[in-house]
Amino acid sequence: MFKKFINSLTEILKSPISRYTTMGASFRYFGQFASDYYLPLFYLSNYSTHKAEFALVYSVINMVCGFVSSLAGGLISDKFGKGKPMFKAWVCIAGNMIAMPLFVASVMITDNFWLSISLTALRFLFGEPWRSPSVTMI
Amino acid sequence: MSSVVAALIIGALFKRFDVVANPAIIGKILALIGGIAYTGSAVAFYLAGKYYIAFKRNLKYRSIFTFNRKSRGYDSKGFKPFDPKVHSDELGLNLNK
Repeated sequence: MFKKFINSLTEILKSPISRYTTMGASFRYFGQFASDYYLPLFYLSNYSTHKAEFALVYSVINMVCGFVSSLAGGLISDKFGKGKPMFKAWVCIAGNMIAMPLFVASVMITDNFWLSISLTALRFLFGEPWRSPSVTMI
Repeated sequence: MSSVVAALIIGALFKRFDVVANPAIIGKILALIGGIAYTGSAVAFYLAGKYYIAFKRNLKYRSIFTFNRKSRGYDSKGFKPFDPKVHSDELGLNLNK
């Protein structure tokens, strides 16, 4: 199984497109892990009076904003990216660059729950369109 | 794999800065991790996009990190025409024979 894993990894690294797309996705999953597992800890530690609201709002944000963003990424890159190979990469880059300050702001605000959670919602809305264009590039 | 690395790094940072005693620092650690993740991802997607252009337009691409890019025939954007005959050996096509 380990040999199979190494062979698959070698195949991915052979082509520079799949190599860099995989690197980009790995960076995103690196951040996603911080978000999925430690963001609840951040909110429950800093806004302990908003536990019930956080549980409900965060699940809705994850479901709605994540879904809309992923779908929009694919639709935008298909609709406007015909004949423009770099457009797919720009969709991924723009999503990241908009989401980064929103994420940083959302975790730096520790005295206003609703402002912080709104920024988290915007971050999900703008930060998830990278999946479909990156798969298309591979 | 990146999730495992993230768990190790974040766990170590949380332990180092004692987040149980000081929960406000969780946000700063997450901001740092998020900053690295989003920026690194954007750079990687930029390079992937450039290689994707080269693939689609039958060109060769080398990034600015490549040594002697200009003297090897690449233009200012890092592209040069791809000739299968010149590169047939590395592709295993044997077009020169």
